[in-house]
Amino acid sequence: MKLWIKVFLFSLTFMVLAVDIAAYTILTSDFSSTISRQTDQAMTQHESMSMMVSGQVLFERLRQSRLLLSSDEVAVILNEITGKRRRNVKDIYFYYGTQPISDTNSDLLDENPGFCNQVFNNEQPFSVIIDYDSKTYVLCGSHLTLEGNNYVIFTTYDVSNIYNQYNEQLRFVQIVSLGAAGITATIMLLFIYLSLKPLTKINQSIRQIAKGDYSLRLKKTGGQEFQELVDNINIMAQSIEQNVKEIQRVADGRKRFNVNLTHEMKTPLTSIMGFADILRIKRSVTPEERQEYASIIVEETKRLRSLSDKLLELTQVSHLPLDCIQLDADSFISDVCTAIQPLLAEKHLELTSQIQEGTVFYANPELFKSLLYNVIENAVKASGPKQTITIKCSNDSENVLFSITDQGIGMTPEEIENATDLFYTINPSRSKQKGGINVGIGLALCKEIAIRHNGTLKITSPPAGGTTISITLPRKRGG
Amino acid sequence: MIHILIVEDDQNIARMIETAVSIVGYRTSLCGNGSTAVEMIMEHDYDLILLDVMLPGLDGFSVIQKIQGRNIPTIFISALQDVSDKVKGLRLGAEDYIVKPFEAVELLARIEVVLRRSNKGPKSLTYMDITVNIEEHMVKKCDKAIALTPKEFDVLVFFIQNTDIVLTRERLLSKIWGYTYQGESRTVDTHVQQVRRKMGLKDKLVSVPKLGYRLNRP
Repeated sequence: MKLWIKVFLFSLTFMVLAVDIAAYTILTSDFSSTISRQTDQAMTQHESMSMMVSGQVLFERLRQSRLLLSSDEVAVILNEITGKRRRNVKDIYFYYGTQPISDTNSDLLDENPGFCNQVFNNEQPFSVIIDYDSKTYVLCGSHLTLEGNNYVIFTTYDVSNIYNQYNEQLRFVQIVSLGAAGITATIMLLFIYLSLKPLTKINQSIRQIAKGDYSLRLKKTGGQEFQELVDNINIMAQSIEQNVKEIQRVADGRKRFNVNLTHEMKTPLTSIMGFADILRIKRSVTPEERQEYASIIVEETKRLRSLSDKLLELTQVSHLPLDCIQLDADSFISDVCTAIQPLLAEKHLELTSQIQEGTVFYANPELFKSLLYNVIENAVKASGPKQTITIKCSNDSENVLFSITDQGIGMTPEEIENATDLFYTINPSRSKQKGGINVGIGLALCKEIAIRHNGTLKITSPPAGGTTISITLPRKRGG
Repeated sequence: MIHILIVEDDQNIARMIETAVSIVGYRTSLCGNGSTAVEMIMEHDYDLILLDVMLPGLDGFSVIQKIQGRNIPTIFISALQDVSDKVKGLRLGAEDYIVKPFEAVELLARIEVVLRRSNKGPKSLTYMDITVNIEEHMVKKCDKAIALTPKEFDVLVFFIQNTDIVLTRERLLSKIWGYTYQGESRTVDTHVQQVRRKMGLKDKLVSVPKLGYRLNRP
């Protein structure tokens, strides 16, 4: 059951009950005071009737100038009285002892033997409210001594009006409360519908987000609670969107890695397998042809070997222990520059270095040499002929900073983001340089090495062109 | 003469394909760039295109879309071996999709199938005094019809199509019987001997130790 239905039903029931109980209590207390008033009145009437009967008997004795009337004579008088008053309903009955005086026998009293016995056995007068013949009466009874004999007198007092009125009022209250409940229910439903309307919209949007529309944002509607909810849902949607994007990026990177690794491995394999097969199946192969095919097979095998070397180096960088020694920046960089000179000469590039004097740092010489070599090699690839590559090295109190800047075409933000992915090469055509092995493994390796030295590798490229790769190492001996 | 365009950016692979194709006497042209390839295809008539997928300029999938109007049978050659890539390639109208690396003979066999399917292959083959009518499944030697079982016929055709090339037992098995099963290579031997005997090719259809058989050029 929905919450709003529960709340609705509970409030409605509670309200109807409260109204009914209040109305009923007021009516009942009013009614019971009326009834007690009526009972008093009935008793008064009973007393006066008793007096009247006593008077009549006294009058008859005085008229006959008798000392005492016999019980039969009294019975005649009493029957006269009952007979006179018997117009619609008998309202007066006489008993002699516990025997009814003839003609006063009545169904009304027969139906209430308990009350009769109560009156017979006690001295004081009693009253009771009884229903008879679809009417309600107050029945009063008391002892009456006439001419030395004990009689019992019963009188009735019609209170049907009071009861009818009370019942009518009760019915009226019921009708009114039902009507009020109906109206209240309508108003409440309308109110609930209007105030829960934003919830429907929010639910719809959440379903849409769940279906994969992570960029959807909810509009603020409804009361404060809903606005809060909308805010929180939007925050959730945003973080989901970010996570999904990140996961997508990782998945894309992995797929690209697979495609690239497959390509890098299968390209040399295809030549090797093809030429080996040709050597195997061709009937006549001239010495020149054999030379050519075998050379290609050797060349492509070298390419595969280089690929496996670099992959191995990469796994070693991340798993082998690191032995760091103190290195002098000036002599270290000049060593690297010497090693890379042939590559520079090919494109007629110039290499300048600005090194802060006395800069020393702690690193694994083999790995860090490989890092610098790879970064400069990348700069060479990005450079056009006769451009300049600049190496800078400086230090502050905490870090040693290396930067390598080229004057090439630069990189887009997307390229920078993916540049350190394995096998990522800027040109999707995978430029093939004869003699050089161009597997896009260099920058990934460099970043790995920098991280192993507790350092960072950052790529910046202003839109104007030229790319700077900055490597930061902590001055203290790293782990 | 069948003229094949090889679109492949790796020079060594291109050279390998060229060498393999020229063994069976097809003429070749080379191209290492997607967009240049489109221009070449628009200007010349080729009987078949061998198309790499990862190409500079324009990738293979885009190339085949641009040349659809030319109606030239195309075989993709790619390192990508995902089924989805194959399906994509074939949907775009390629006749076949070969995954790198591959054996030279396999490439030749696929080329032969594609050429035959597009009615560019020869309908009859001749080898010395033997004439084979592929469509009618008829073999004549000196104008005299010779009865061959269907498998023997296929073996003979395969050898004539690949003269001077060693055909290994596995290759024959997978080509003629459609499966590779080591234990059954005796079946190959039996059939080859039958063909040799029936067609009188004792000196020409020679066995190459440890490899298979070769039908020497007459």
